[in-house]
Amino acid sequence: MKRNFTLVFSLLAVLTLTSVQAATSISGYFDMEMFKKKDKAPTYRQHHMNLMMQHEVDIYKFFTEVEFEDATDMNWGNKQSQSPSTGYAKGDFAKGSVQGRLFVERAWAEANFSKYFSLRMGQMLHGSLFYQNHYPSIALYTGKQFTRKTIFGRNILGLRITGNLGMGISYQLWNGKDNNAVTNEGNGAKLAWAGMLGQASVSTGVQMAKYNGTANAVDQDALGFEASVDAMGFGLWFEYGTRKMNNDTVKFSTARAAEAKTMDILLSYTMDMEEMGEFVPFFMYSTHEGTGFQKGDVTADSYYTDKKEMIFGVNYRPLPTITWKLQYKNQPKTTSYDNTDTLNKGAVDSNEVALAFVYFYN
Amino acid sequence: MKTLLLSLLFVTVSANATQYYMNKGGTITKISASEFDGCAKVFYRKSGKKGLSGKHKKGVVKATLKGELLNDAGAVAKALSSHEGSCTHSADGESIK
Repeated sequence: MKRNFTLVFSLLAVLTLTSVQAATSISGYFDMEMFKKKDKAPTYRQHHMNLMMQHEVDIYKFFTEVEFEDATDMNWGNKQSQSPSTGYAKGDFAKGSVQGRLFVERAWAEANFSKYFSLRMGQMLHGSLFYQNHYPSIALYTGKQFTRKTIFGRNILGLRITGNLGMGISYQLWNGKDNNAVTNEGNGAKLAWAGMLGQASVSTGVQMAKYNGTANAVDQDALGFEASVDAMGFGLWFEYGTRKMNNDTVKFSTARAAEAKTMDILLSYTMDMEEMGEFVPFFMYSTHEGTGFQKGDVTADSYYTDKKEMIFGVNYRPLPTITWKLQYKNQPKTTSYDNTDTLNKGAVDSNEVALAFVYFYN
Repeated sequence: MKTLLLSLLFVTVSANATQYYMNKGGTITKISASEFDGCAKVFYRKSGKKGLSGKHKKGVVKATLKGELLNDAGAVAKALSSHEGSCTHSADGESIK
């Protein structure tokens, strides 16, 4: 008996030490959302269940994020006889037989040669403000904002070089392919500065990208500016972006806006309630302008029309890893400005209440 | 048996105590929790995170989501030594040098 106890306690001691020294991190988050529009029944979305793994040794690091969206249920229904190797087209399956999606959002490895020069390879998120802070545990709002939907590609599958030049100045250079179908292969650069101005923590950056066209997306240039300020509990995020097709002969034959301008502003105030956690009320205002739709085109994604959004909300974090979100979103009737008579999306005001619960584990 | 139990208790308690470090003029030095709170650049880790303040626990969440967490003691020591004025934390008994 005594021998068994000794063995069990010895194993526990080893386990305790191992967990302290462990070099592999397993973490992720769960995100449940509820939406309610006027005169409509509430809809529920088990949006994310996500697994992240990270490991590093010496100057090298590996990171991946596997995401299960919308309570993934991959039931192949009545198409089981079809070989997966031939591929499936959207609509191949009986309605309701496939739900959600499973995908690798990020998978990269990097080498940090020095603070002046790091090389990251693989699939990574674009380096702009709203992309880098879009995770449900960080983002105050529920939903996607215009700048990160429209201007720069969501992912970069390729290479990114980053470094700090001193005095708070950093740079990014990338080359790769965006797999979000908005854009394609491209190159980009970002120059940023971060530091303290009095009591305020400030960061700001300017970035540009040049995307090479294919049959469905002609050459495009994107330009963005971003800034964030945090001082005495107040927070401001601002991002402005513009994207333009630079080939007049083909731009009207595509389903995309030939030119888009977006702006997102987020204001917040963090109230530290000590043992009770924190409350963060916020206000967000977003605009999107798009021009140059093909006449008669109704296949353009809805966010390529002119749009505005206003969100009032509050986050409550009883613990740093738990977030409750409540928000009200108003999206006024879409304003069509050009001579296309078929752009009828967003023809009425939209008012929506959303409630979300996010659990982060680490 | 008693010795083993006491050793286990010591290991468990000491593993949960958080230690703080800063790169001061190229030398990695132990600092206090209040000095750590004022640190502008922090390399967050899993090790010793339970003892952090709420502000820094949020920092661990952000760093994890952004893929910026460092867990390996050697890797964090290397990162710390290349950024003057930067800080990190660890569980007691773990060397960051």
